[in-house]
Amino acid sequence: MTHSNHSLLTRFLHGIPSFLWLTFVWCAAWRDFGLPSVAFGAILALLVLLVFRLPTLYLSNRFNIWYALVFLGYFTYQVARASMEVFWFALTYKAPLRNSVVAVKLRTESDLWITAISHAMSLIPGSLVVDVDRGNSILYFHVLNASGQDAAEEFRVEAHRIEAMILKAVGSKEEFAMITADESRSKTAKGSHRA
Amino acid sequence: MSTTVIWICGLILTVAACGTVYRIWRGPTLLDRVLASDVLVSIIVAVLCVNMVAKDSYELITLILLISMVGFIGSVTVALYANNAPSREKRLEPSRIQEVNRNDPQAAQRLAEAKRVAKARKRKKIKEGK
Amino acid sequence: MMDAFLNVLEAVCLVLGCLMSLGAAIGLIRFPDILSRLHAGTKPQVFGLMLLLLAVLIDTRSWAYLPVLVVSLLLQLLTIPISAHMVGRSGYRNKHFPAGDLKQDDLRTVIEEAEAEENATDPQGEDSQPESDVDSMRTS
Repeated sequence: MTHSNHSLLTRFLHGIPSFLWLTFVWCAAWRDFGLPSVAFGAILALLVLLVFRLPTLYLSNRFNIWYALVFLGYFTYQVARASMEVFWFALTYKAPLRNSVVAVKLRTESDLWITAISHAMSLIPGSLVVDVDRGNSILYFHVLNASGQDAAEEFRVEAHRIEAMILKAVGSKEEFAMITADESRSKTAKGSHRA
Repeated sequence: MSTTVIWICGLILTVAACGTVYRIWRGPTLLDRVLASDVLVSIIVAVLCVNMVAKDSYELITLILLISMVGFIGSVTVALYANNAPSREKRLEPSRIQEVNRNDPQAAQRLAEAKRVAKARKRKKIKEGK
Repeated sequence: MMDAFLNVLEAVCLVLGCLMSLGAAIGLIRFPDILSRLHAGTKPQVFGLMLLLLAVLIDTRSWAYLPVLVVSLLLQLLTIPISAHMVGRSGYRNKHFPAGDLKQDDLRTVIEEAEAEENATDPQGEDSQPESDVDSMRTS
């Protein structure tokens, strides 16, 4: 195994989510949550996890269901809004298309959350991850119908909002503290700006 | 579900499928064709959903599950192997690099310089009999 | 009363979901380059699928099908960005779009420098490039 610095116990504990997920998929596919089905699904999941070994997925140490629900609602809203926008744009656009490739520097350094953020942003129509700089945690987005610095800046703010929501829901304690500190700072900055 | 709604959905999906098939037929590059067939798969998923609603039998949901599990593998494979193939399509033929770098002459120069150096080094290596 | 409401909701979901597919087809036909077409393509796959699965769920009038619908939606949400990213990355790197199309491009110089570096250190990578490109650039 590559992660030899983790003990067997932590590896076992971190295998539990994938085990539960596989069992759930089995039961969902058969639409049967009775005891025999669950037991057989559990056996199969165990078999799959033992035979097809993958690098263990290390989730963070906290999970906030409220922020997760907020993120889900916001994400669905954004997908709906952007779908309509792209639909309308496909119907009405005129010849010179104004697209941009925008680099967004993320605040997290965890591979898992970079992947999650790029997934969420890719699922929202109108933005698409073209390339990832993993070492510096920079995502390169292709943005539909955006030209100039202003639109790029707007898009960056949007990406950072999604990032903040995901990190608040599932990020580690340090990341959560960083995000909340960032937000309070920008709030006070805005307040002083207004006053 | 009322028959009118099913008919409307069927018509819309037929038109959409025709559009994607047109793109598969026409699509200037391989990637266009791959993308269009991806969209065609998702239209088929939509057809399955409408079919389930129309017939009130929901066994086809397993098929949708399977499609969402393996549907992406084909396009990923093609995208991987199409990665380094220089496009021989008509529209993109004339020296791609020059065209892209038209706005930035210095970048083109840098690239040409690097290529020249690399080539010289390679020739030297061959001469040395490696 | 409740039943009628659910029926209307279901019909709206169905028609909207199918319209998303139509929007994708229109986008595929009308947009000029592969990356814009990708934006149009992800639409029926995400929002359209959500609406259609919701319609199926309403049509069953029971919660028994919720888990399998959620699983298939989640799998779709997990796999779509992967293929979209692969196709988009490949399309971008192979320059499948007109030169002046991108108004702002943060990535171009990064890739060019990386490529130049790669070519300088690894002469074997040179073989894939057609020779005429380099020659025409040198003479021009």
